[in-house]
Amino acid sequence: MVETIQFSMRIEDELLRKVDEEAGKEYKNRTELIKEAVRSYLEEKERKIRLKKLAAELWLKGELSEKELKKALSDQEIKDIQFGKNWVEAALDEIRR
Amino acid sequence: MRYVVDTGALLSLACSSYFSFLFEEYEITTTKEVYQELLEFAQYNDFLGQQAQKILKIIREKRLITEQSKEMLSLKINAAELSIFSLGKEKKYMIITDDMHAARVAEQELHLSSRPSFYLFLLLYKKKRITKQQLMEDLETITKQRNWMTGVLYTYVKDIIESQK
Repeated sequence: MVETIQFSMRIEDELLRKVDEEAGKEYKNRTELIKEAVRSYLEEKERKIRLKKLAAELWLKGELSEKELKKALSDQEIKDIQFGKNWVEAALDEIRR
Repeated sequence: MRYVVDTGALLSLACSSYFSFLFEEYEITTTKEVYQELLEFAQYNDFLGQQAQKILKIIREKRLITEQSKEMLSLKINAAELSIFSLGKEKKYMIITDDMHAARVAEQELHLSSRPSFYLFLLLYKKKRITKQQLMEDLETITKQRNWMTGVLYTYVKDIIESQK
């Protein structure tokens, strides 16, 4: 059995009522519903991150244009990845010398 | 040469089978701010939490020491990153970070250079302390375990090394 940790949280009345209503409809308790909502939120975030990672890797391999990269990454992330490419190459060159 | 290493880079290095060995080969230091971040990571008993616990053990054994710079630089990066860039600049230590954003900001605004964490593994390989196979296994492990930007960076390095004979 997976070990669990107990913690307390504060939540607005109205939101808690909605949680309980939804839990009731699905024959779950509020803990189960909140856990499922958090899991679903994190899975969605992870899906977006996988897309970002894939886009950045393809761009580094020269298999994706900068225009396409802009669809997956923010301006700041693009600047960081562009810097990262030169940064990695410079470190490798330094080691080779 | 002494190296000052941030939280993310320490966590990447800790994923390696040769992590402990790094402290026999290099003089490595970190800062109080990084130590605080490691304590926060260590509260969780997941993979990264266990790596943080491993690093904290090395700090307790005084094989990884913490130092403080007299002054903090002015840069828009997080406090722990700022502390390693400040210490690195002040003491002329080589700065090791996997935070591409902090590395870019420090280089563009203050011309402060840094190296990604894989640099220390490549040095081990260059000094023939580890084999190419061991190096590639380490890079693979880190690629899988770290956050997406660090993962991208390690994948890129791995691809370049693999393409070389």
